[in-house]
Order: sequence, then C-alpha cells, then structure tokens
Amino acid sequence: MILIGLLVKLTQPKVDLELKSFLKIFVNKKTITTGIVVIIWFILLRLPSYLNLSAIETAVGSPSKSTRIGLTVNNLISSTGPWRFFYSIIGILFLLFITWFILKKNKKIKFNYQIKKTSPIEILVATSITLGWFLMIFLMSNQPGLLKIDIISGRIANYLTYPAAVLAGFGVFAIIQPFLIKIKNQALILIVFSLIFIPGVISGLSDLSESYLEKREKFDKTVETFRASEYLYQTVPEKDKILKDHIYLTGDTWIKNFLMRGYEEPLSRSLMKRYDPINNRETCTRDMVAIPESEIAEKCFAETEVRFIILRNGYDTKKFEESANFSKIFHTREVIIFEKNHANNYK
Amino acid sequence: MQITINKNLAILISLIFLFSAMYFLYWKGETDLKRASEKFTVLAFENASLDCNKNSLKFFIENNLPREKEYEILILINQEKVASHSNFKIPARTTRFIELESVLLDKICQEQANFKFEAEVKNKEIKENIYKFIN
Repeated sequence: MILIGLLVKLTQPKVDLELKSFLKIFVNKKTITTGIVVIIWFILLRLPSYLNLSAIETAVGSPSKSTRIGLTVNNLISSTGPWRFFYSIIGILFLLFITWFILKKNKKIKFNYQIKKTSPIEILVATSITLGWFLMIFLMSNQPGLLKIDIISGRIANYLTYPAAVLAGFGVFAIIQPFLIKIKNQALILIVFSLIFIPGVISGLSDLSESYLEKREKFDKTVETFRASEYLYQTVPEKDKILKDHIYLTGDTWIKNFLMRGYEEPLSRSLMKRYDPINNRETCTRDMVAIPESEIAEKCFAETEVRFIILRNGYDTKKFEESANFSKIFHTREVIIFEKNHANNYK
Repeated sequence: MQITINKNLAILISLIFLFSAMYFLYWKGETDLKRASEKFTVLAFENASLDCNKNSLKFFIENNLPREKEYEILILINQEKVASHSNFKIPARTTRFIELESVLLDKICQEQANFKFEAEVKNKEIKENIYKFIN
C-alpha cells in the first residue's frame, strides 16, 4: 500500500482530485449495507470463534513455539505449490509493471493488455488489495515475529494459496495476452496456453500424490483410522467426549472430519515435547493415555468427561487391556477403541 | 504448413484435458480407497451401552476382503466359554451381526450383575477380540 501510495505521489501529483472517486469505492450503498449486515450478524447471531478474547490472546504475541517462528521461502513455495507460486510472482511483477505504465499513460501497454478502465485510482486499488492480501499473509507466515503473531506458521501458510491463485491468474494473463493480441493462429495460442497450463495440472496432481499416496502402507492405515472415526460418529452420542492419540495413530488429524464436535474436540494426546513444563499446558491428554489407571488420570477422566479413547493397536494399548475400567468396543489390526466404564457417573 | 483450429474446438480440447485430469485424480483416489478398505476386518460392538441387554451385547464382523472368509467365534463370560461358532462364513465385503440366543442372554443377565463379556474372532490370518464390562 505504501509503495503504491508512493507511486501515486510520483506519477500523479493531482491525485487529491481523485480522492472522491477513491472514497466511492469503499463508501457506497453496497459496502455500507454489507458492513451493517456483518455487524448485525456478529452481535445478534454469532461472533466468529477467532474474534473472542481468549482466541485473540492466544494468537497475539511473540512466537512461543518452534512451529510458530515462520516458514522459509522454500517451505512456502512447497506449501503453495511451485507452479502457482511461480506464476503469482509473475502476477505481482505484472501488476506493478502495468500500474506503472498506466500511471505513465502508456498507450501501447493499454492496447496489448486491452485495458479499458483507465482511472488510475481504480487500478491502484485493485492492485494494492491483491498485493496487500498476498504480502500480508506472506509476512505472517514468513516473519510472524515482526507482526507479533503467535499462530502455527504452517497453518497461516495454507491461506497463501488464495491470493497466490488470484495473482497466478494475472501471471498467466500477462504471458498469454500478448500472444492473443498479436497471433491470429489459434492452434499456436492453444499450444502456448497448454505449455503453461499442463505443467500446472501435473504439478498439482503430483503434489497431491506425494502428500499421501506415495506410501501405500500409510494410506492403508489411514483408511482404518477413517473407519474407526466413522464407527464412533455413528455409534456415540454427540455429548460424549473422545480422546485420540496423535503420536502413533496414522492420519489422526482426519478424525476431526468425523468427530469435530467442538473447537477443541476430539481431545488429542500430543507429542511429548508439547507437554514440557515450559509450555505450561494441560497434561491430562497425556496422562489419560500413558497412565490410565493412575489417580491423576482418574481425575482427568472426571474433569474432561472423556469416555472413548482411540489408539493404535499395540501402542499404549496394553494398560487399557489389562484394566477392568475400560472396555474394548472396536478392533481392527491397526486401530482400537476403548470405552471408559462408568464414564456416565462423572456427569 | 498453417494449422488452424476452430476456437470452440480449442476450448473443447482444453476442457477435455482438464476433465480427464480431474477424472483421473478421482478414479485414482477411489481405487486407492477401495484397495485399502479391502485389507482389514472390523470387529466391533453395535453400540457403546454397557447394560445387559440384547443390543448392548450385539456385535458385528465386517469382512472387507474381496473374498469369503471363514471365522471361528468364541463368546466368553468372565473368560469362560459360553458359546461358539466354528466355520462361520462371511461373504466378501459383507457385515454380519452376531447376538446371543435369547435364552442364554436372559440367563446371563439374571444370574450376574457385573461381568466381562468377550467376543473373540480368529482364523488363519487374524485373532481379534472385543469385550465389555457389563454392570
């Protein structure tokens, strides 16, 4: 935004005259109506979970964990997709380039890219919103410390996909449009388009396949986790709490697809390093799996009202199998579900 | 040589390419899921209730394998065998529910207030069990 503002100052000394048309973009019947509807929605219907005070307190501050200190550019390229990222960079360059030439009133560029809207303010707003969206998420995931953001960087990086996709559209347009104007041979245009588009499709598909399907065995195990989750979804009332094991269960994150009955559900026994006293986090999810027969765990079961525990077969299951306090209600070669006997007495 | 392609044909070719890629992805995912599902057997209770009644003690064997399988089923109360089925055949990709005979169920529920009900299923490839502490 600052860069764009400077561009305006340099090239359009009389920009103040266009302030009115600039304001019109933001202050008009449509935006005011939308704003009022959103505010009414937040006040009367539901405040989004990310706007409540505890969520804000959790998300704001210096990065507190290694997973929140930012991703490298290479990580970001890989999570956004190399093809999309490459063309989004071309899109950024193109938008800056085109803004500059439009402000300079370059007719050739306007003709080549068939730009009919010539109001510099409109071009600037369109450019700055898209670039601002991309750059802000890029900074949030690459340099969260600068912005005092304490959220898992990988999670923020997922949202880079959207502005990157919009910018990649501009990038592809930047390359194809001169051909469309100058070359009348449609076969050639199709070839140019295919040369850009096919690597994108291949890159996307191979990303998908590499993310999971490359390890056949892992995929097979995940399907068993799916089946166990589906079983609980069909069998267990919504009020009953569920605890899953993140350490050994394969594809346990997908359990949320079936059993996310609240923001923090199902509960999860996390990696051991997460329970380091320095992190000052609850330890019940660890104790209920590791020492289910202990007094500590018993208190945890009472506090959390956990009734079902999903574990990987053979991993921390022995103590449950030896106990008369747990029933084994589901069994496959990979996944076992235990039920805490008398769990209803806690309620 | 000048190659000319009609604009609509060009769009059609592009769409065919796009949908072929998407359909391939869909087909690959479905096939992988099907293959993965065919590799395991599920043994589970029909519901999570711990009361002594017909539905609570009803369990099922889900044979996801692409062929018929034969199982040996043992039903134990407090680790003592009360019923069994040998050569229990389940066709490919089929689920079979198993429940205690009414007479036996009534007897168990009347005679015992707390007990461990266990179902054990085995064949050459698997040996799995599930159990409930009924009260």
